[in-house]
Amino acid sequence: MSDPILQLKGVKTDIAQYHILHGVSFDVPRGGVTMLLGRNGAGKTTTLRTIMGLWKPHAGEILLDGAPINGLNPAQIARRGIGFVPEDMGIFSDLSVEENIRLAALSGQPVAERLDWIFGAFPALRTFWKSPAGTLSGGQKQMLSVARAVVEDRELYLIDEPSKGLAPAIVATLARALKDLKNRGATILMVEQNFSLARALGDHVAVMDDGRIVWTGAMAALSADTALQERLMGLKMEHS
Amino acid sequence: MSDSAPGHAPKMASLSLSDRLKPWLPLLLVPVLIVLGFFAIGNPSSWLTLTVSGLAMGMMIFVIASGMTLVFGLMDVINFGHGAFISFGAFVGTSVLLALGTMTGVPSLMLNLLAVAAAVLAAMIVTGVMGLAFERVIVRPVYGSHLKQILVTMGGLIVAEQLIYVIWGGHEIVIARPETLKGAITFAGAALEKYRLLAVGVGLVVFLALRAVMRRTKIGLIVRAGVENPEMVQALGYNITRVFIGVFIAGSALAGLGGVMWALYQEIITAHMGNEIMILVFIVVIIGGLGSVEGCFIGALTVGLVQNYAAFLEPKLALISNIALMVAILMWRPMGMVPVIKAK
Repeated sequence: MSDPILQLKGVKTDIAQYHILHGVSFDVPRGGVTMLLGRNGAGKTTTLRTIMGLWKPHAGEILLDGAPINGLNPAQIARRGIGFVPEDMGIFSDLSVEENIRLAALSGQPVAERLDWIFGAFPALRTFWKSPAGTLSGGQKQMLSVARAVVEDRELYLIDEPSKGLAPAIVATLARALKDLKNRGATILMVEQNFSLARALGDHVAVMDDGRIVWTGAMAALSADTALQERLMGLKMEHS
Repeated sequence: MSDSAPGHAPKMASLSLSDRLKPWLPLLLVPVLIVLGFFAIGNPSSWLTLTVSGLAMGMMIFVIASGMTLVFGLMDVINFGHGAFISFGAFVGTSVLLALGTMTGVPSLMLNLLAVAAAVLAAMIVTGVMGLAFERVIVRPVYGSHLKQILVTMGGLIVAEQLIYVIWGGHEIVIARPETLKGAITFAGAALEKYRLLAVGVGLVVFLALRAVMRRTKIGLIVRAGVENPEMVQALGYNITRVFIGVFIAGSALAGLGGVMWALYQEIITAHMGNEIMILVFIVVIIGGLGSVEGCFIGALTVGLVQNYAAFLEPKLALISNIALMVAILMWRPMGMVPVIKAK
């Protein structure tokens, strides 16, 4: 495993009176896609939000490139080089597609080459460039959410369930774009319930249960072991 | 999973004509009201006088309310202390105008406008600094709690009013308008007060400037996005707290500007004048749509016109006209005329 870009060490997060993360520890290697898997309520989304600074951990340490980020606010963490695609997509409905993208370009205007890549991956965004984002379909909003995160190069992308509630055709479009992003050398930490998509994209896996990491390893190892899948995630599926 | 995606042809549901027109309907409210006023009043010269008066009043309320609606929309803060900035702006501006009596007392438009500009600048600086202190000391500790916000900002308003008594005394101050802004011009048989025409112009400039900032600049983009989903704006790398402080300061300064305008409109100022205007300001912010500058503008003009027409047609009705207007608009559009979609 290459040197980790992100390290979580014993991270504990409470939301109101509930203990959600009970000491999460795992590494995200530089380059490739690390899948964060687990049953509903295991703490995957809370882990991503804690990394992003949207929830404050009360114990443990989060290191980005070896430097602690757990005391920083979300804006500072984003400027350290983390792009975030939240579970609810976080689209600004009153802003146009163009304005959503322009807002995400911290250096000013989006670079033309990157915009070309976005339009190639998601042609719908070019079509509705000037339209209010609130008028897009669910799939188009998810494309916009991903496009917004990748409009500039980031050290790490946190992507929370991009396939949630989407039609298979749109999931395939997203998968193709994310694979292309990975092939360009990006590092992605992704939460995903769709195991087929996770298997297609993932290089490394961390499996969560009840607010803890219960297994880490290579995706190839998890894919090949149906008994392990069933034990870790309650999955029973045929290999395609 | 296959690498090749089936063709995903982008398309958008086609909207009916009524659905397309729906968002634009509030824009028609002001012209429709003006036309209805014409038929209800009957006398064209009275109608013209009342219309200019209503628009002037609406513009002043807009200037005062625009900052408040952004503060509410951006950080969900109910600031009952906003009236303090109006009163302070009026007192500071009046003090400057009284000190510049040699400039306001001569019939020179240039000197008169310079004196008013100096008064406005002083008022906006003082209320802007006051806004910064208000946010730091009073508002910041109560983010997220509406009840506490109401209590402490009302407390802040009382403290500010008492400070006015300490600095300027407990009596009313009469302020005469600069020489060239006194009186009226006659147009189509109607007497149009010069100062009200100036107020309409200033209000329009403030609206267009605010709209340009909100629509054409990066900071405007951040504020509009922040009104909808502040958490996501943070996650994109923008410090929303700094943006909020900036908006709070700008909103306070605009209230100070409104205070000076209102003082010259009424020609008399008291420590609690800001508190009295706040009822109209709240109505405007609510019917406009919380966080919407455009909605605030339409709402303010509607309130100004309804108040003036009702006062002429049925003076007793004027007392409840704006409450009735608010009820009617909220029954039509419960989220206000130009609602801002908030992230859940």
